[in-house]
Amino acid sequence: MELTPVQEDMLQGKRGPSLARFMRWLVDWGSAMGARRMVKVENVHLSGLSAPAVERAPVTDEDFEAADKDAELYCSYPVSCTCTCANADISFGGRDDRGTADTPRIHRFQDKLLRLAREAGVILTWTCTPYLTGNLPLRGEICAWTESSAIVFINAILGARTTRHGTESAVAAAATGYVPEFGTLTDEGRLAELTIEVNTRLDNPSDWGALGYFAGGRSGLKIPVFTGLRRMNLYEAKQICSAIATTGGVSMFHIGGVTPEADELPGVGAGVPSAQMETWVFGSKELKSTYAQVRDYGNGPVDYIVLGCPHLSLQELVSVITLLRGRRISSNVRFELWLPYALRAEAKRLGFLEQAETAGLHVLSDSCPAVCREKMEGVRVLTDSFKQAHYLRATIGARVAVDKWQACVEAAVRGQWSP
Amino acid sequence: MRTRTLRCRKVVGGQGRGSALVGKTRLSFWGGFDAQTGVISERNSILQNQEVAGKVLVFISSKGSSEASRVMAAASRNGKAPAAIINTELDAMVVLACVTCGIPMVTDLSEDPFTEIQSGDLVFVDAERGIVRITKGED
Repeated sequence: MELTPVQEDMLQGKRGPSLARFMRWLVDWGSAMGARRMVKVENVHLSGLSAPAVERAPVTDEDFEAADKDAELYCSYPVSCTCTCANADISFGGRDDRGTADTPRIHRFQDKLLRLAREAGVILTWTCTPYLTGNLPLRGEICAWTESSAIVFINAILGARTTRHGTESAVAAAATGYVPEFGTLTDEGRLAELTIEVNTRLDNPSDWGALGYFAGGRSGLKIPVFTGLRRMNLYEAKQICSAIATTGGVSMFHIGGVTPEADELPGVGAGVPSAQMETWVFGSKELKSTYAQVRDYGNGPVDYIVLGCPHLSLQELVSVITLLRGRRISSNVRFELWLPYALRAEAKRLGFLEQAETAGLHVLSDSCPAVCREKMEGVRVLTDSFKQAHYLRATIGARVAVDKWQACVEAAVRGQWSP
Repeated sequence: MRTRTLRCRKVVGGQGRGSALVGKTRLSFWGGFDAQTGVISERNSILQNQEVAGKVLVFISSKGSSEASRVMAAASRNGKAPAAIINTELDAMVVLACVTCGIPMVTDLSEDPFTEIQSGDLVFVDAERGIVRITKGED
């Protein structure tokens, strides 16, 4: 890879050992992925700022020392950063909302990370949908984002540019100000590679999630172009983006006539299907069988209902309250809605939070069940999100099912779900 | 015992040796792998309940969550990381995990690793020299 003198100085340690380590990661990672140079990054969405929970790794002395060593860098990030979900609802201060306490050591480490991040000017959004709370990258903006669903969202829906980033590469990008240029950062890396023909109606956001879940498995790491689809709304977009990056390692997709680059990148257009492309058909049969893939139980009682993967908008929260029309949630059901902290605060100010809590809803922020919950073997979970259902099987050992959000709300009132 | 040597391309440098764990599938390390036990936990994965610690892990690519590197760091610390990784496609997530955790990784083998390597074979990966040496298991 060709480096500029500034980048070379960082790599050689002339700007300190931490920047040298970060630049080494970026160079090795970028070279392996085929990058020829580094480009300036404008927007970073970090992960890993919360103490480990799901990984179940003990916090060691080394962690504390490493955080100290990096402290000076945290104070000099050249790029504005937001951060993705934490391992707990931070606002409950070291306990989750059900009272499970972190160890004092984890709690101390979390406090330290928070202090360092604040000093660095990191905007602690703690959300997988930062684009709902103000971090909205525009077309062509060079980003280094973590969070698989948000990566797809900003590439496919907004036309911003990021490769799939992890904790270390995003921190390194923030601290150095550079990212290696490969994949979806380049024009060629954004071209469609397979076609998915949709010939069934998608009636609600979960149906779009089903399409994403199907498409991710067929696409692997490739970029699909969908044909036969109408314009989507924000809630449908969130579901297809999160599901496609669950079954696949997809960075983006195109929808002919809908997504911004589908019809106009160099050559024939990024999202124009060609006869040579591998093609899959998604019809009513596939829609039904995709729901069946994440269904572990049928008719009957349900224990735990989750909306908010990816995190909800305020409009989605209000839609749930409106649909309830004063009805209360069954006492046999725990019904959680997850949204960004900023929107929870807004909901509080506008009186929606009180309405929700009166109805028996638990409105939570900063995290999500797949990230923060302990094992709940066999518990019957209902959600509108294919991503959440997929991961809750392994992370908490749940029995899962997916249904549209309106059906989730009805099941919460009745304490029963009938598919 | 029969030994064969295949050529390959280095993705992340280093050498690793171990018993092979082979699955023609994609893996999500966050939400599909337990970093404390080193066991693949994704339900319905063909590698579900298999242990990866110290193995040469052969699979198509990573998928899903962007937290592969953080989970792999936890696994490394717990002594549960694989000895080396052979992938047939490159997802930036597991490549980053190998870079930051120092796990040797190779791709583009001169023959199909899913037919040439079986779980239980003893495999030596030398990313620097671009070779994969396979010694067939007892069975």
